[in-house]
Amino acid sequence: MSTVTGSARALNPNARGRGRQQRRAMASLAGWLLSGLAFLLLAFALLDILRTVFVRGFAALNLQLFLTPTSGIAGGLLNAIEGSVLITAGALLLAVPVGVFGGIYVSEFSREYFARAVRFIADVLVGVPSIVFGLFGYLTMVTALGWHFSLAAGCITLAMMIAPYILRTTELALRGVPGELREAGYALGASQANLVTRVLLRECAPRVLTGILLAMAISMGETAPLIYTVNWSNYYWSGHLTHEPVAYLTYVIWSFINEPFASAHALAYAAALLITLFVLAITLLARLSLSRLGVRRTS
Amino acid sequence: MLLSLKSRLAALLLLGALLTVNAQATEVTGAGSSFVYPVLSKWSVAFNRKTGHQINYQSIGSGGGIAQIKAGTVDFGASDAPLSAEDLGKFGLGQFPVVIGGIVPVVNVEGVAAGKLRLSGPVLAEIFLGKIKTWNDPALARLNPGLKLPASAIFVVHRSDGSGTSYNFANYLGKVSPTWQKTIGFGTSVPWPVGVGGKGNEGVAAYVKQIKNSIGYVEYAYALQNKMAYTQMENAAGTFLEPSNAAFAAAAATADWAKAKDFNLIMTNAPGATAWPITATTWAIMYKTPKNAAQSKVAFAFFKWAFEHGQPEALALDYVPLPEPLVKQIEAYWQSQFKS
Repeated sequence: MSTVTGSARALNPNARGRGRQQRRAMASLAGWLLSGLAFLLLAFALLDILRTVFVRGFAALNLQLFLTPTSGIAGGLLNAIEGSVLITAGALLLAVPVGVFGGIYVSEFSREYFARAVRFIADVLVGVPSIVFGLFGYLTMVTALGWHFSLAAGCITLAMMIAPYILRTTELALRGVPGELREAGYALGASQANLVTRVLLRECAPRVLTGILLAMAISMGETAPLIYTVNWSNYYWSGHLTHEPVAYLTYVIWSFINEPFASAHALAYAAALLITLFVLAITLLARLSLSRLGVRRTS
Repeated sequence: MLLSLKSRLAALLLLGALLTVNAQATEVTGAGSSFVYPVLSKWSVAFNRKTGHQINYQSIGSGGGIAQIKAGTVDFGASDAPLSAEDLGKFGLGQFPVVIGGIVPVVNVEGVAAGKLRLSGPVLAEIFLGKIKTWNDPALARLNPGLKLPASAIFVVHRSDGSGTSYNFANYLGKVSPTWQKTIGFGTSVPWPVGVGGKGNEGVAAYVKQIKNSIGYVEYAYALQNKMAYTQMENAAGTFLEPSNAAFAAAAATADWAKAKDFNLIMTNAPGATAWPITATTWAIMYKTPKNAAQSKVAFAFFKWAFEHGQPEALALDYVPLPEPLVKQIEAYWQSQFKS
């Protein structure tokens, strides 16, 4: 922008015009400065959070974390890691089929008014605060069904949270496939089911996968719904789906930081670091899969 | 990456089978006061090593503990505030103390080290009422003749969330100051006339550490672990003393538990020459007729083990185990009130 006004200023001998150009240059500079400051403010906040988590988390990392369970306020994080993995795996197990098949149905097979209704409901659900899901899970599964604090209640609650997200990303991925491909498929004699599985899904698999990976990142970082439905356990999971609480990393972050003991704080920071690294890894993996798998298909 | 549903299900079942431990072990769940979380977890780990039973406890606050035990989703609740007799009767619950701790005022004043500042109950109440506004107030100078206190304003920090710590602290202030009793009263959340609120003991401790010339109240463990400057207090017998495990134990010993129905006794301002005036206990709340007999039995075994063998763990974490006579009273209470 400044180069344009600079060269214009050099060419224009008119003094009044020069004044206007100078004002424009000043305004442009002010705009860039303010934008830069705003960006730095946000970036500083993010970088400060990451710095605290990384510095204190790495200081608290040791081999014991991965070998022993939490014993109250000290020990390791193995039970929390195991529990987080179980809860996320269970939630994905329930949400991925519902989301993917739902997205396929809404995009390919349903009538337009039904598709619009489902899209609206999915968008609303994606925007519902996670603690409301937790309360819903508590009222229905923990108390009404009598499962008490359990892995099943936590998995189903999280699945309810991420299924609409997966449904929307699948539907958007399928809608992104050009219509010509569908016409070509039908012209070659494919049935609708064949078309969807053999042609369309193969085409947009990377984007569907990205959606699933991001849903996994979301569910790993959830605390509020799990506090209501899963309680906490200092031990490993012993195989019961109901009537037995499990541990999870985000509880360690939320609760151990409020203890007076430095060992508990160290565990909290270590758990925060692990969750951050895991979510970072998943997001990078999603990005990579989107670019690599997409490119490889066409080459 | 695109595992089929079948192989994913198989992997999960295999994982579950590999992680299954002794099926005879009973799992007991509890929830409630965050004050007792450290000691309950330590005890449950030791109990697990001895018997194989698992006690799981989630610290969601005393209010949460009461709500969960009333809803029947946990086997025991833990609360820093006792339930009233009618509440206990309505739900068929019984309660008994579990462990004892002290609440200490902490200050951040230049030149005042831990245990040097002397406060009395009425003076503390006046500070939290906002009547004593500066550190060099004559009332404070009278109690601390040898200490040089600055002329700055007192910055009061209290709890922003409902809490058993606030309950006991406000109860104590009500006992030593008629003005407090009349205007504020006590409860898990009171209308503090002055000061800012910190969330949790951790929040209050953080504020007091950061802000100069501030005063707050935290549980003893927080004051010790964060190396804060706690104060001396004048107790009901007129002695000035520093907080310590011995002082808390003395308060528990002099409190008259036998007369309190369902152990509904707040130990603040206990008589006794060496008693700390702001001592508190946490109650475990359980159903008299258990909803699940096996788990209730294990819960009682756990508490019995904790009372008889859990003293070293409690002391290591800056709690005070229950005195022997009180334990006997509790076990008699179990026999008479609980069916199991």
